[in-house]
Amino acid sequence: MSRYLTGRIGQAIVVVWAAFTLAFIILYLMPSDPAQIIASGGLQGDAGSEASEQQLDELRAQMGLDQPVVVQYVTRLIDTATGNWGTSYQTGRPVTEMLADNLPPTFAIAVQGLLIAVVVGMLLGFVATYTRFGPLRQLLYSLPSVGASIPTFWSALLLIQVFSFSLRLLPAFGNDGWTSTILPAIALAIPVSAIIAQVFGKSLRTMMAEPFLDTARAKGASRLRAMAVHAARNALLPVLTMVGMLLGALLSGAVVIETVFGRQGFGRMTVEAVNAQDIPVVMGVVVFSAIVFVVATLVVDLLYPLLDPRIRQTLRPPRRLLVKAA
Amino acid sequence: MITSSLLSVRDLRISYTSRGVIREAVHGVSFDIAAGEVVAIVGESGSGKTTVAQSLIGMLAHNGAITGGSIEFDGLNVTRFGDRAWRGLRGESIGLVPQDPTVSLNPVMKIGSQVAEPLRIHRNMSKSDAAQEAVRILREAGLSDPEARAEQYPHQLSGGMRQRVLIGMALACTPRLVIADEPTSALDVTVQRHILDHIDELISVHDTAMLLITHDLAVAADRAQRLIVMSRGEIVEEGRADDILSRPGHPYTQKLLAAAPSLSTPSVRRPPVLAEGSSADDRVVRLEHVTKQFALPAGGTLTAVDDVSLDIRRGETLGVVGESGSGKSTLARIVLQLEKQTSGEVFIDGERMSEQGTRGLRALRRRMQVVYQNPYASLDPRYTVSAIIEEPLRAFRVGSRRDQRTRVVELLDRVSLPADTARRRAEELSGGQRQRVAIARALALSPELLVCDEPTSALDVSVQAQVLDLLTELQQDLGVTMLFISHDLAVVRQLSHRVAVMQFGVLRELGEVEQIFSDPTHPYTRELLAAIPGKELVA
Repeated sequence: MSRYLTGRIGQAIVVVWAAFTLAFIILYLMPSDPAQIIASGGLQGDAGSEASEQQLDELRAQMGLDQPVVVQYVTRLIDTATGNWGTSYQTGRPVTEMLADNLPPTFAIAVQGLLIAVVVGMLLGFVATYTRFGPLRQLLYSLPSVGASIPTFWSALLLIQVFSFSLRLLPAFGNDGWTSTILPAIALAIPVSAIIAQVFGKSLRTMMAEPFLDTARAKGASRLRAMAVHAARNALLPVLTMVGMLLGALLSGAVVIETVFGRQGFGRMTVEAVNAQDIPVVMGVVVFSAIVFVVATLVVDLLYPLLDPRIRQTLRPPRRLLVKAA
Repeated sequence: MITSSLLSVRDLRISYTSRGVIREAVHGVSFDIAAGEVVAIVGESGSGKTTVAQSLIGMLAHNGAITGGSIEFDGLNVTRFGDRAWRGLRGESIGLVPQDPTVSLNPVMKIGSQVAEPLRIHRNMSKSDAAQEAVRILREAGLSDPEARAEQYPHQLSGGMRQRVLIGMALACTPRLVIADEPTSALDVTVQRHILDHIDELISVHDTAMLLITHDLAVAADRAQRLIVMSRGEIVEEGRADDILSRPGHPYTQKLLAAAPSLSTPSVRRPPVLAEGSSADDRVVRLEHVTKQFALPAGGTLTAVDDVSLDIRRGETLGVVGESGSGKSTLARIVLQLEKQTSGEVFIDGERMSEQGTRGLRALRRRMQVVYQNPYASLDPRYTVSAIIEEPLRAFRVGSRRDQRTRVVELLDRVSLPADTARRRAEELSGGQRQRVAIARALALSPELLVCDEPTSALDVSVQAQVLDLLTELQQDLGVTMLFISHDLAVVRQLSHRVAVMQFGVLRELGEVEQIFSDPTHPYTRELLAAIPGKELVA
C-alpha cells in the first residue's frame, strides 16, 4: 500500500511538472514584453507614461528576463517548487497571496455545486432507471442531455431572472454572505449533474442486467431493494471516476459563472490575469489547477478500494501515467 | 395425482416480443413435480428449457410473457402473479441456483450478508441473528471455516466455493422447490461431482423438490428420477431416467443420446496414425522440459507449465486434458510460440524454436494453425465468411485473388458448408457453422499441425458431434497432426490417439488412450475418470 502511494505521488509530481513546463513554453512564446506591461502599470495603465528603453532594460535585468531561456526556466521551476510563485504584474502582490484571497469564494460555490450535482445527478439516474412509467422514463432520460447542452451563462442569466428579479428570493450579484453562493452553485451544478445522471443511469442499467441482480431477485428482494442494495454500489464506481474529472468542469465553469454573477474569485482572477497578460498569475493558476486535478485523482483512486474490495488486493501503481490531469 | 403434486404446469405457452414481433418460445408444455422429487429438463440451446425455468419463479425477461396455460405451485395458481406476490415465494418457497457462480454474486458485498439476505427479507431476522444463521448455512453448504468465509468477498472464493454459497443461499429458507439452472456447467468435472452430490444430500434432508435444467443428458440421468426432454419449445419425451436412457422413444432423444460423448460407446473417431515409429522426422512437435512462469500482480510467480516434456507424432492426435488452471491452454500457446517458455526447448519439425527470429517464426506460423474455443469471439461478426477464410492466404500472399476465391469454395466444401456461405457474414451463422468456418480458416494454409483449444465446449452436443466428426475426417484425408485441448475426457477419448493429463501445470500421465481410460496409473487421472457423469449408466 505505501509503495502504491509513493508511486502515485511520484506520478502526481510529474504531471504538475509537465503542466508547469507546458505553460512556461506557451507563455514564453507569447509575443509580449513583460517589462513593457509592468512599466505601463498593466494594460489598463495610461499610455502617456511611456517608459524609456533604459528603464525597460533595468526592469528586464531586475526580473531576470535578460537571462537565457533555460536559466529562466530553471529559476522559475525552483522558485515555484519552493513556494515563491512570483508577484503579479498588475497588482504587485505575491501570486500565492492572491490565490489565498480568491480561492475561498470559488471553493464555496464549487463544493456546493459538486454536492448538488452529485445528489441531483444520482437521484435522476436512479429514478430514471427505477421507474417503469414510460413518459416519466423518457423525460428523465432526456433531461441530462438537455442539461449538458445548455450554456452555463444562459442558465445563469435565467436563474438570476427568475430567482432574483422575479421572485426576489436570492441576491443576483456579489459576494455577500452564503445566500449569494446559492445561484452560482446551482448554475455550476446543472451541466455537472447532467453528466453524473447520464453516467450513473447508464451504469445502473448495465448492472441491472448482471446475473447477480437475478440472484438478488430470486431471494425475494424487491426491485427497489435490488437496485439500492446491489446495483447502486456497483454502479457508483464509474461515477467516482467522473467526479475527479468533473472538478475540471467546475473550475472552468467558475470562470464564466463568476463573470456573470459579478463575483470575486478564482475564475474572475484568471480572466483578468489572462486579459492583462499577467504571466506570474497565469502560471500560478495553471500550476494550482494541475495540483487540484492531481490531488482529486489521487483521492478518487484511494477511495476506489473502499467501494470495491476486488481492487484492495491488487493495489499497485498503474503502468501508464494519468494524462487526463494534464 | 394432481393433488399430490407440488408443481403442476398445464399447457404452458410463453412468448417473447421483440421489435413488435411476437414469437412463441414455449408451445404448450405440461408436467408435474411431486414434493421431494428430482426432475430434470434436458435440451439444447433454444429448446426453451431456461424460459420454462424462469416462468416458474416469475422471472421471465421483461419482453417475455405467459400467453397460455397455467402454473400451479403448492395449491396456488401463480400464472398471473404480479411482482409483489412473487416476491413472497421467491427465496421463501422456491429457491434458484443460477448457472454461472462467477457472476452470480454481488462482487462488492460480503458473502455473509448475501447469504443472510433472504432471511432478512422473509424471516424478518435481526442483522446479528441473520449473520449467525448465515454462518450455519455456509457450514451446511460444505464450506470450510464458514466464519471466515462470511467475512470474505466473492472474488476471494473459487468457482466451486461460490456455487456452494449460492446453493446455501437458495436453500436458506428451506424452500419446497429448488430450480437449478445448469448449476455446474461452468465448473470443472471433479468440482461438478462434489457440488451435485452435495445438492442431492441437502435436498433429501429437507425433502425439497428439485427441477434441474441442463444440456447434459448424462448429468440429468445421474441426478434425476424423471427426465423431461425438450426441443424447440416442446416436450418430446418424458419418463423415468433409466427408461429414457435404455429405450429412448423419440428420434430427438436418440440423437441426443448418440451425440453425448460420455454415454455413447467409446468410438471410433480415430483414424490410424499415418507415420508409426519414433524417429526424429516423425515428431512434428517436441517439448523438452518446458516451464512457463508468470509474474503475479501481488508479487511472486505462478508456474503455469512445470517441466513438461512430450512429443506429437506426425498424423496423430494428442489430447491434453485438465481442469481450469491446469496449464493446458498455456501449453498450447507455447507450442504455437504465441507465448515464450521461461525455460526448456520447443522443437517444431526438428527446428529449435529458441533460435528462430521473427521471420523464422512467421514462416512456421504457416505450418501451425489454431481453432479456438468460442466461435462467437474468434470471428469478426462483420466480416464475410470469404474474407475470414481468405485472410491467412492474403497474409502470406498465397496465389492470385482468383486462386484465393477458388480455395475458399474448396475449403467450404471441405467443412461441409454450402458455397454460398462465402457471401454471408459471420454474425448470421449459428455456432456450429461458425466453428466450421474457423476450421476452414485454419486449414486455408494446409498446416501440418492443427491446435484445437476446446473447439466444441461452446457448442450443443449434437453440433459438437458433427464438429468432432469433421475433425476426424480431416485428419484422415489430410493427415494433419492435432493437438486437442479439452476439459472433457469423453470427447478426448473419442478423438485422441494418446492422452496427456495435466494438473497444476504438471504432466501427470501420458499414454495411449486405451491405457489411460482402462488402466490409469496416476490417482488424479482416476479421480477425473470417476467424475465423468453418466458413466455408471453405460457400464
